[in-house]
Amino acid sequence: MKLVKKALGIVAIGMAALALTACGKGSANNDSSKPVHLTWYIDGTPQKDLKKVNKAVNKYIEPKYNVTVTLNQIDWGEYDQKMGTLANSGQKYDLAFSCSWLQSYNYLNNARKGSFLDITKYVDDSSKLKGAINKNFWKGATIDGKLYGVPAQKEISATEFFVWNKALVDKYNIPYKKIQTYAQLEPWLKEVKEKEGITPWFVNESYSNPTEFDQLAVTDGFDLEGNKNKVIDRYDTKKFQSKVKTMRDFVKKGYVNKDASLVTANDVVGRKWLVSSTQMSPLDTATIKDTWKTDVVVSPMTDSVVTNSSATGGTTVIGANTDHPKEAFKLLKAVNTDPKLMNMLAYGIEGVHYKKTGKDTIKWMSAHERYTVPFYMFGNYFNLYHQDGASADEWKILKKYNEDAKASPALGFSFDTSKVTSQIAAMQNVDSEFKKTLNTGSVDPETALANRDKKMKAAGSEKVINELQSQYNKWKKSNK
Amino acid sequence: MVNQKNKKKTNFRETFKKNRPLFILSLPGIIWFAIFSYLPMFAILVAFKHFKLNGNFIHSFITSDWAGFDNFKFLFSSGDAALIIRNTLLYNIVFIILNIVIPLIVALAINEIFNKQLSKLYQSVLFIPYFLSMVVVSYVVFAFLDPTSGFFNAVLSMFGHKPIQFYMEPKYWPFILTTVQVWKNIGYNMIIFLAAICGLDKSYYEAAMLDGASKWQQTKSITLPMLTPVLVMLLIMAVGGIFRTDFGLFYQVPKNSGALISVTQTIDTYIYRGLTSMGDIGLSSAGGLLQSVVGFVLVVITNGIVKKYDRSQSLF
Amino acid sequence: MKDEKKTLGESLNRFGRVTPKSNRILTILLGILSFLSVVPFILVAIISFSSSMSIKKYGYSFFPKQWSLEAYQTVFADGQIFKSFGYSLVITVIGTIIGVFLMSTYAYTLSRKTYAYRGFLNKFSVMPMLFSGGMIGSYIVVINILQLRNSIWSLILPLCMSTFSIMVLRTFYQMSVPDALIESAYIDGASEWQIYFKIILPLSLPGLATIALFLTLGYWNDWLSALLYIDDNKIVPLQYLLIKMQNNVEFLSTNTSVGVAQTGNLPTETIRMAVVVVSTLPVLIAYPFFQKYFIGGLTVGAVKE
Repeated sequence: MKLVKKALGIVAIGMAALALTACGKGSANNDSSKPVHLTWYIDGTPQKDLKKVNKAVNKYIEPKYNVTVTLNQIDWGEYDQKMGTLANSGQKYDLAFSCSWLQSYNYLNNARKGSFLDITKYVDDSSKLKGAINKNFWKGATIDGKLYGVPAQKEISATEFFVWNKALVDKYNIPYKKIQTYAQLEPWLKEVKEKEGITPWFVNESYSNPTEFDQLAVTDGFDLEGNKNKVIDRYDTKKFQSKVKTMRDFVKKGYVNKDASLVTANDVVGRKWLVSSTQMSPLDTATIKDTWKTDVVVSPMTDSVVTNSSATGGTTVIGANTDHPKEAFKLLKAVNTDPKLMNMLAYGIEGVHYKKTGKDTIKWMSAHERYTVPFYMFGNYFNLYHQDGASADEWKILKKYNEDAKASPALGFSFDTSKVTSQIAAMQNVDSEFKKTLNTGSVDPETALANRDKKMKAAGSEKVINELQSQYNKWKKSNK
Repeated sequence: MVNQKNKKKTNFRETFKKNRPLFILSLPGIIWFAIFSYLPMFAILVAFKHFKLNGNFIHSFITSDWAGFDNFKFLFSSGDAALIIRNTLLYNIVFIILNIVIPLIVALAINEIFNKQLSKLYQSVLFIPYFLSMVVVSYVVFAFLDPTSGFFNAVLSMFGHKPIQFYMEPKYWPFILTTVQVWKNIGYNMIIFLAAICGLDKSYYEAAMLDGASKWQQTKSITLPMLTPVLVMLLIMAVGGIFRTDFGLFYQVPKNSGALISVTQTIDTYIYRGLTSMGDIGLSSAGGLLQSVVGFVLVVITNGIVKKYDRSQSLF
Repeated sequence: MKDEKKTLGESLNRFGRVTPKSNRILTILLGILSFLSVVPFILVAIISFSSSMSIKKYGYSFFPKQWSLEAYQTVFADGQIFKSFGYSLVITVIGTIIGVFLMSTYAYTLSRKTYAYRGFLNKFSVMPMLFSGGMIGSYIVVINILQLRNSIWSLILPLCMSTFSIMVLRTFYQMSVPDALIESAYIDGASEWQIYFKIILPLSLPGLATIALFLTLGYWNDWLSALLYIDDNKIVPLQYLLIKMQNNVEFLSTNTSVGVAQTGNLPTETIRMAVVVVSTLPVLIAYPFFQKYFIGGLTVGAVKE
């Protein structure tokens, strides 16, 4: 007991010390004539020329916007953990990249938790920014009626595409554009397997037999091909069940690789295959070709759907504890509305990393490899110049694609999980037990689906479904 | 009253004066523990909060609502709680025993072989696995067990057996995981035993040799009894971690295969799988605190039992 | 004296060691065990010397179809690996020295039965093994209180003590330093510092070497501190370099939706394995330095000069 007391004493001293350091910080510099300095965290492999580009960016933005910035690029594999710790410990920073596919630094959870600054007012006051970005992006980034970030205007939907090996498509004259269902696919798998002697369909562990569905809690959500207002487990939909059953059949027939649940997407390199799949934008074909080292053609597996999660695939947020909210927003707005700034951030310095070949077309120079960053770390794609080889109307295509994508009925609704955290934790575990094996046809789907259902119910899925449904109904009513 | 207080004070002062030299020796360590272990401990209390950020951490902490034991519920809500605890405890008990017994035997043997050059070589080599991170180990294990091109299945097929789908068959994994764990850590505890043997007082052995005791007799009646303090210490320390598991071993080595979950799910993997998508530090602290409390209780019990038999060998 | 001891030792030699037959059996068994320990590392080394295309095509093999030095060329072409090695070395050496000092003094006072605060300090050092403030707690202490962001000390200080090593050392002191020795020194008028430096330290070399080795391993293998406390890749120790590669590969191959923008730059498997080899070898080379304090225990004890 004595020990506990002493330990508590030490803890108390520690907290006092902490409070002191926390209070000791002076107030922000209010001298408006001096440029304000901002820090900005972005995700991705640190680029050799980042400092150089950063300098050029500052040279451009300092006179124009009266701010300067330090870009901090953190490696893919550690960004999530590092930013999560930064946020949870209440550190100060100005701008950062967040999105729906990160875990600790996930957009929705951190916005809810208070890690990000509420920028609703700023955005509402800026019609230029608001108008520049498709309204569905704004809807998807809205949480309980508030905005916490500016989504990068890229492809709005996270659609899975069939990726076809072009050589074989040409050889067998496969009408790939018309193939969407497994039934349409089967005859071609059969023919290519027989004639080429290969396992035609390469499936990897992350494959999920996509259907048009908006998952909001584990696998529960709204079926966009069924009753759009009723919460259901995706694994209970007919379409999904028939897909996994066919998948199992394909594995048995040798159309799909047997080790699917153990291989990752990159393992496709070096194998012989006819078709595979990945989530991508319709414009990404060239990149796929580069990474898979095969000439490919692609076609979507499902219609494109806009969900909260797909609309926040790349979002820039302002840290809640920033000293310079106004200036941070000013820069964020500039990135999305000032083409010169966006091009500089995304492509590097003109005359160093690229050269202009026309009004809005460019060609890479050799220093390009010293600065390649994902553009969605910054902002609006539609302000970007066209790279060599890209079609001049690529942004028109993307714009149309985004406008045509079906919005989920739950776009703009976000589930508050605080009442059902235990159930969700348990369900996540059940899901990870069955996810890979079921989706890759590694186990008998009948028994696995039944088992999963039993375990999901034991984990409390009904409570989660009811909670989700009632929150959704309430939201729907107030948003009529 | 005043008198008593004064007396206490002088007593304290006297004791301090008498112990000052030793106290000064231990002071740097005390300061280190205070700063790097005790100061961060305030964060444990987050386990009892619905943590929401609001300004800096301390301010956020103060303004967040108390959660009572709410954050702990998720640990017990799963239908698999019994299985998870069983796995965690069984694996750890096996690991504790094997990680003491095997390194001890190896250390004794390494000490005995005639060829000292060889003995040195063995020692270094046995340490190598400790250096491979679990990710690398998981690649190596996969190279052996891969259903299509794994070495192990290649051998099986040479003898006309059908390949085994290791990553789909739970029954092999308790054995595989135990082997990997022991294999990886053999060198570490072995060093402690080697150093301990080296530090033993030689005169006992000289006496025993004069009496004509064989090597085995010497080991049994001198070495092992003299090593008990080390054994007991290692045991108590290991018991403190009985609710913790090596995440890499149970998650990365089985390649996060869902089919194996019945034998690979431990408290740490359950927390990881359940919580990563939520990013709630209140919940994850609760998980860690539970592991600590169980470890603490067991350490106190074990230590108490040891104390009963031999005070000098207890940890505290 | 020396001679006498030697003859005594020699005459007793047949009791001082196992029989030749047992020796052979033990040597063979240990040989098998060592072989099993080294095989995976050999595999890793072979992969690092294979061509990455043959790994992609045929998987891992002890007899690769194509040998290649490409991985090492890439690893060494970039000056980063030398810088990282330098940082790892500095951190490990400084950290080990500080750690040995802190832990040996602390553990020594714990081993002294006459020390009044012994009981409390024992518990004081056991608690942190069981309860820890977790990542957030440490992060706030290192970054906000000590203000060590981007400082090499943030990679050294938080790791220089561990309850485990203190307890190992305390047990060693208790086993190898007889109380009578300290008492007699005390009576002779030696101060606590003199006792510690002149009597205790020389007697407990195997114990010190053990914890020095553990500290060395701890520092050499640490990467989390660098991940948390260092921004902008200012200090990238060797292990952290390796973990970076592994984490990136892991992340990008499981998050395919991230956009394929940068997967082209991913280090190949052979490069990662080459870094494993490069980061492991220095410690294996350093090992004999510690080893001389453990080896030569019992059997040569009687004839040791």
